[in-house]
Amino acid sequence: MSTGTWVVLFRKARVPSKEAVIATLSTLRSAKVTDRGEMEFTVVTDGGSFDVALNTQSYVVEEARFAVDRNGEALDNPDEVATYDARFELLFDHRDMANGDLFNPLLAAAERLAKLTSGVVYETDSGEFQ
Amino acid sequence: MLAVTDIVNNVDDMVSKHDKGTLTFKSASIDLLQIGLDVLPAARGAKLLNPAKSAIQEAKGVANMRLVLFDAVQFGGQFIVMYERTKEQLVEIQDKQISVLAEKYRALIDLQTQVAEGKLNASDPQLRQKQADIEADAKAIRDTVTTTWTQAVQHQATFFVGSHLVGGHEEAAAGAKANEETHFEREIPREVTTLRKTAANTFEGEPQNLRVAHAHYQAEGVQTSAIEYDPATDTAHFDITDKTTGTKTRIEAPMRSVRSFSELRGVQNTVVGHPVDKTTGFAVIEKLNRGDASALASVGIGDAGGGKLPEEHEFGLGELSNGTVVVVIGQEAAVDWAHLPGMTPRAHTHPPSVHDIPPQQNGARSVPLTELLMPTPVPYLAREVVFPTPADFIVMAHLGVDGHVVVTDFVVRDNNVMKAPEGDTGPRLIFTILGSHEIGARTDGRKVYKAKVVGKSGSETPINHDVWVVQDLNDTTGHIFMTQPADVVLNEPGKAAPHTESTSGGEHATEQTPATKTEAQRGAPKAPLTPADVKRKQALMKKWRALGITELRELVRLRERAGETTYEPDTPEHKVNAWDHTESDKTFEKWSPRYHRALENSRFGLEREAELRARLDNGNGKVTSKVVQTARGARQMDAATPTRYFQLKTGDAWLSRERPGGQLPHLEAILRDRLADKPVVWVVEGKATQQLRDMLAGKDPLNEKITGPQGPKTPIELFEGEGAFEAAVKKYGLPPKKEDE
Repeated sequence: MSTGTWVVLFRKARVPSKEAVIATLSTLRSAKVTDRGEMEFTVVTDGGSFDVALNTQSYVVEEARFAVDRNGEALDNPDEVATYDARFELLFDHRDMANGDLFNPLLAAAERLAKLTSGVVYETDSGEFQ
Repeated sequence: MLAVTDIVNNVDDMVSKHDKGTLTFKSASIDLLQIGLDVLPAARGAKLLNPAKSAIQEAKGVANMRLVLFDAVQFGGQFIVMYERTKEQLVEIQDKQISVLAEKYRALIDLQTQVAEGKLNASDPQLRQKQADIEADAKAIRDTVTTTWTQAVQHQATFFVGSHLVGGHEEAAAGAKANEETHFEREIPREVTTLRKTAANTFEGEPQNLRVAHAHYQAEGVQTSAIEYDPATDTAHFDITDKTTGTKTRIEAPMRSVRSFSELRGVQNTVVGHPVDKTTGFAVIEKLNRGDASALASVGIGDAGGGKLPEEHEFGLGELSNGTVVVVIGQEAAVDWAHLPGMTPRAHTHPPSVHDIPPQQNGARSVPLTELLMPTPVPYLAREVVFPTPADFIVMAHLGVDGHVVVTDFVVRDNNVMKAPEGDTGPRLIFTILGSHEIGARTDGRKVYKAKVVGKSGSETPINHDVWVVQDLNDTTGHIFMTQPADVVLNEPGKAAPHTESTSGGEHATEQTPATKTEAQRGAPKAPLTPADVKRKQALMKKWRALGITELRELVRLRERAGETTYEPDTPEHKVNAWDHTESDKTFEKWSPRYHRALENSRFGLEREAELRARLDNGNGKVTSKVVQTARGARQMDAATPTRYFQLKTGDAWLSRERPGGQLPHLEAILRDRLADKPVVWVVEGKATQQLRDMLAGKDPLNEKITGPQGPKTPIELFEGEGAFEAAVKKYGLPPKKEDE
């Protein structure tokens, strides 16, 4: 339970380069981005740290469809999102979030990765598309 | 017979006019037959109109001058009212003379039956004698009743009143709750009406009732002395004084203190031995908390020797008015100060057998001091075990006690807090609760208390912090927080907080004390709020999560002026600060619900985890969270029972990708669960994706490159959906702890 997950869903064709991801995450205030290899990154900010990992496994599209079926009513383009087959997973510790300071950097990171990939942000724990 | 002709509004008015001799009457009639048939049988059940004023009447020298009302008998819409002494005379007539008469009458009937059956001659002298006896007795009764009644009427000791004056008498007779239309003084507490008269100007009650009686007489405007415990007479008492005559009446309670070690067994909430000075008293209870019964010698219990103390009983110190203290023995895991009137609760112990830190993730029963003091969004059990309990803070606020000491068996060693290891004779953590007071309430109605807690360990003071206690709904216990909770609506500055008087579970009432300290008295606000500001602040606070940014900033300014800002998560000021520093592209209206959802979701998840542990544990003290080492690395288990581990997901659960480090995605988590030393159970309260289900069932995703150690692909049990939590608890919850365990 202590790990929370937000994801940025997008088309596999829009997978950015590692450099683009690092550059995007580095625009966060006071962020230090560590490249852990294989499109995995750790981001440390004043508000706490979180991990970012790319997932392009075959089941990603199935879980995208799952999310749209469950909670896609707020989307303008649910049919399109249901076909997204890549995602960035933003993994964080719930205790950091409950303490209040992780929200801003995590939200900004998710928004910027969504912009980079033309994707959408989905909070898997609460089942909400942003 | 007389009837009241005054316009009297109610019985109190009538009694008052009667006492002053200003009641006027007109003639009324009642015949002797009515008295005999109706009034006399009802005499014993007649109700005192002012029963609770017994002690006051005593002080005034007018005992037995109270009025009673025959509420069971009506004569044309009139009730009979008389002096209690007249009623007692009628009771005596009814009980003695009439019962004797009845006995003789039964004997006469027997004789007449024998005559009718031919067994006795009608002219038998026995029969005539019996008839003569009965006639004589009846005449005596008539004479007595007539004399008693006539004298009573002449002295205005018996009269009729209109039944409208005693509206509600039927409800009162039926024991209904008090209302303003009922005049039987039913709002008088039971603790007062059950006082027993033991001597002239002396009434006696139980110790736990004394504070209630005291508060009652104070509220009645009676001159009332403070409650004192007198060790010489072993009684607690207070006096009420008639302002006119100066007569004092004592209300007392025998305390039955313990005088020998053998008497200690089985007693609770009782004074032990004689008073001592404070220094000695603190030394005594500290030794008692270490199990050293010989310490009781200091208070005159010389036969304790190496005796065994009741393990789970707390001890306390009650401070007397002269500054000395008495040792008291409480009960299991508590001291109920309601049973100890006439003393200020000055200290109590937390026995080592009752209070211990639950095993932590590493299995140790110790916590770093810094962790104990760190603000947490949810209650932190270890803190509530080590610190004075939430109930301690609440009781001290209710009783207005400043500087209450709590002696524990915890120690600080290498910046870790733990129960004193065996053989450790070093200093224990001794806490002092300063200025505990109610500051307001959360929007859900739960009261919030604030106090300073100072923890000393020998000459060191490792703990010196403000704490906030949020009550449970029964107001007897709650949870301790290191920061002011969000949502609290503070009491108006300078306005005393309403007090409840319960000290132990709401069962007993205690003396009503004024508010100890309000927020304003404890810290000068930057700019005192006007009443209109306070009202505005409270109105905004009630709906603060939904406020626009303009109103939210206004609320924060008001809170700053009132000295309320904490900048803790999920407070107005934290939210404004977060918004001011956000890097999000969203408008405030879109950003705001995400802020609350994120914080609340994380907080809820952590609370739900704690709830799962508690439900699985069922009071056994065996279920904890735990970090399990596997061949792939550490795995945090949300709950660990003796036979299984549990993972809880409060929402939907996805299969996030394999990755060896950092935050643990579900795929990697399952790989580690397969390597755990006990079966792992997943509880997903939302919905699991098929891919997650497959992996839990032992089917890894295709094309996923899994490297490193792997365990057997034995299916992992999954509870999923709305009833998952309860189903898991039902299947794997431990049976309740047996009493004798």
